[in-house]
Amino acid sequence: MDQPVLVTGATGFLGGFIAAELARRGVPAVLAARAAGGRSPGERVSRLFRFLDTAPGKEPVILPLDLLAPDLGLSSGERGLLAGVPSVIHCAADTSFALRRGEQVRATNLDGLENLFSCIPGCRRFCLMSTAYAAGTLTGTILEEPLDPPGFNNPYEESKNLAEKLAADICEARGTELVILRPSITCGHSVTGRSLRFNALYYPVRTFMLLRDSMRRDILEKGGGRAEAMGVSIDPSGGVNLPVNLPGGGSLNLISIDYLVAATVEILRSRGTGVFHLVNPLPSSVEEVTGHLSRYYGISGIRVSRERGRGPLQTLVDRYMEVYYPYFCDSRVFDSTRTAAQLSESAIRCPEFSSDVFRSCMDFAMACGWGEEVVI
Amino acid sequence: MTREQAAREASRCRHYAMCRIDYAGTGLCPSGRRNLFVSYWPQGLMDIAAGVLSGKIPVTRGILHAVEECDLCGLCQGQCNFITGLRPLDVFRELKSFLRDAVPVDDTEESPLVNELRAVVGEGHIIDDPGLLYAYAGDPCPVSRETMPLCAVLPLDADQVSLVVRACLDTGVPWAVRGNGSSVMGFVLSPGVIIDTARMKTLDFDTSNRAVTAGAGVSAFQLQKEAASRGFRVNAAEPAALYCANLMCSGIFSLFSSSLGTGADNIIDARFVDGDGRVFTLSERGAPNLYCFAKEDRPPPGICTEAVVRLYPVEEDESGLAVPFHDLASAVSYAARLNRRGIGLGIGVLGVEYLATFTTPTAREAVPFRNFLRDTLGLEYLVVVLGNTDHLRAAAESAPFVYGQELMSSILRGIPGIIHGGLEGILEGAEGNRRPYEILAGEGMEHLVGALLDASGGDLAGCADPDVADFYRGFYQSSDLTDMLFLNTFRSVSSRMGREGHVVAFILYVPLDDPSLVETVHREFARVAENHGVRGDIGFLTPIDHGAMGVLEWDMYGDHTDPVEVQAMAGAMEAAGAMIEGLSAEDPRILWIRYVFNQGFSRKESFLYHGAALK
Repeated sequence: MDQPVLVTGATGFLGGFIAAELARRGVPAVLAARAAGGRSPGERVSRLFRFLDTAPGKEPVILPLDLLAPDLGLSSGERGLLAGVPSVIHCAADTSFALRRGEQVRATNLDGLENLFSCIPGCRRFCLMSTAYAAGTLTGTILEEPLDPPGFNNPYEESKNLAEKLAADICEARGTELVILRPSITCGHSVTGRSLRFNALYYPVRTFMLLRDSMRRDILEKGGGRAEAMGVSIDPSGGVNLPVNLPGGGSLNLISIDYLVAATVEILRSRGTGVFHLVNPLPSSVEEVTGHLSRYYGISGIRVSRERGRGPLQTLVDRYMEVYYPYFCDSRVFDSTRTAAQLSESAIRCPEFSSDVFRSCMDFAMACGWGEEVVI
Repeated sequence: MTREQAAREASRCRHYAMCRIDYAGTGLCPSGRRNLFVSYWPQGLMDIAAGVLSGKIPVTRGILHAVEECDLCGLCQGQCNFITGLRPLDVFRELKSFLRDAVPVDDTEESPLVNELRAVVGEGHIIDDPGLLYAYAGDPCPVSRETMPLCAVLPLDADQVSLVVRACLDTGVPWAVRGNGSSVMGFVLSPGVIIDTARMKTLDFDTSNRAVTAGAGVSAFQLQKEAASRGFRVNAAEPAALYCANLMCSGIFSLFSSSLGTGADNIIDARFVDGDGRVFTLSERGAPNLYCFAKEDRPPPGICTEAVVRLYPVEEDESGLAVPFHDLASAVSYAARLNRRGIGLGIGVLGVEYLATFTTPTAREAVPFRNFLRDTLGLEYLVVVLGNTDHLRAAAESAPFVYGQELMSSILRGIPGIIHGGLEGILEGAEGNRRPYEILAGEGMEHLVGALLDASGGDLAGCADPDVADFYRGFYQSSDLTDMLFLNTFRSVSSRMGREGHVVAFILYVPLDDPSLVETVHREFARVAENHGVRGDIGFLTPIDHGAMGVLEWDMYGDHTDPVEVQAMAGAMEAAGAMIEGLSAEDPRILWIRYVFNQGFSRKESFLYHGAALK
């Protein structure tokens, strides 16, 4: 990987970690980032590198790229630079699941992709960061190949599936090598817990912790009337019993960011092409995750059950988490034969998402205020 | 507070007259109660302070008397601050200090008319001191002009009003009638005689006939409070407004108008003094027909000195609920549907700007709370429904989501916690297809919301400045300012609309058969406001007459002491007027309330459906 690589979404979660790893390895990188919060793209990349303790082997070139702006919002000089980039890792994406944001998701993930292709005529190798859930509502074993699911659970899944097809069509027409990476649910670093985003698994955990804290306070300091009305109590071990049912019967496929980064770089280095599932061969059951919550964070009472619970707590949790429920009931197997073969010569293996990894991730999230103190 | 600061603070009084009603049960300004003229109430003394401290008016004997009468008891500080955020006590301290050794200018010569009027109303009920009259000279309305009157009188009854009017007529001196505030639209200014109705306090209940007679000096708050103590309610609006004046001006509309109507609907009889000084009652043979509306600018039919209006019994199971909406058309459709089906004693579509402004304890919380409602909850409108258990059950059944009274109380009591992010942790991660406000709706959610907010915020009174926090605390404890029924019955906090600047309210009657028309009206107002750099938003819409029509208020805000903002507001008002006329030309059912002005005794049918009148 001695030729320049463009990384889009370089201040985002996946793109940021990948950009830092490339920089650490001295790969000549062109990092596409946008200004935010009054900070320039360059300043944000510097913050990113500091956050990830990265001393770049080579200073990256930074482009203020906006996927939805005409000419990507770049000057003619910047476009000239982009036109000659031979290799691209496209991580920029809108990851919202909400139906009401569907248009915005499609615009970023499809129109943005098309716009990007229009400005990279020199690209010979294109890597699209997709998702394992581009499989939509397909059941059974999901293979590392193009997919035509009968439906999707949310606009994000659909946009990613369509983006794979769009990228395949364009790359085929241009004779560009295409790599499609399909990670599952990506969490923080397996050892340090470090992360840049705290959605997906983090949001529900954060919600349960907020509920735990407010209910404990209600019980210990306010007479407990509200907690009682919701059936919440202090359990014998001093934890807070939150009587809530979650659907189960499936597993959460959780991977850590360090695995995703290592596998991505290795697949690209070893010149793999086609579709690769970056998934955990040992997915976690919902019971295991709720067990972690009970063990480490004093939250009990969460049951995995097909029965619908009742009461305001259950209503809140259902409304809040219904968008994630399809993933709780996910009994599919994501085949990763191609990935395993591509990584076979390396020591890279997906670590089990153990209770220790879970704890590292959540401890880090809490320590940084669920991202409030991570300002990139 | 320095003299300059005191002058500036005093000039910011918006004349909402909340210092003239005992809305918090803490008592009223002793000097105001003794002397009655507005010059002696905190509101008028603020005007005088603004004039004196800025060197705009000379010190007169009257001013020295008004200042001496103020004993700095401090009652006004909490009352005013709670509503407007102003600090009148600090101003009056500075004023007293400034005038400690002041020498008044020579008295002006008394006019023969003043002598004549004194004989009519009695000594002590007329003032012609120019310093005291300064309190009658101004109005925060951007298009009004300061006008010094000749004198102000306090007649006791219709006979005295008649004599005052005849005396004015004989001498060719104009007159204007003034109630508690100053109309805030410039209608009560006159270079002649100001007839202040503050002494006309008749309040006579006839519960067997479900009627009450209210004199021209009775405020809506006082009337409602007295009615409530007898188990009744009246259809009343702004609490400090004098009830008869409000009836006369435009007819009374409130959320209760969706069941109690407006215009002549609640009027049984009334007594007037006409422009010739003749006294008449509505019910007498040959009285002018005030029930029929004509779409034209009309002078007032006279001075309404007392009115007999209907009382409605209050049921024990009355309460309120709120239904959240993201878009105006859906909110209007829901509200109109309820009204069509006779559900609810009161219905109102409230914009979040309006809601945030009058529910937050101080201006500091208003913007973050509004941002929470809009950005975090995704909520733009709340339809408030007031009614008995049957009404509320029916309203809830047809609502997409319901915030019951208990949940609304948890939210409103928890405003400090909300501002500290107490709900954002729960809501900001909501990635589903629901709007965040939907997550909070449902039975029992009040416990959850209450617990979450308790954990992250202080109490409402703690938001106030320390020296007025006791007033806030006392009022919050004695009255449930999170109770939708209480808030809409007594409207104790509705004048907070003017807390961040003077409000110019545009009021229109609009047809509700096509909610998109309401959206168009809203968009047009927003466009005008934006073009003129004026802050504004929809206030409320109340469906009336079985959901056929609605009364819509769209508010623009500006600092009436800032010449740049005054100019911008004046431009916006002119443009809004032209815009309304344009909309009305396209759909004549859209009726600007300026045409109802002075025709408040009209039957609502005659102005709502004026297009159907015989030609």
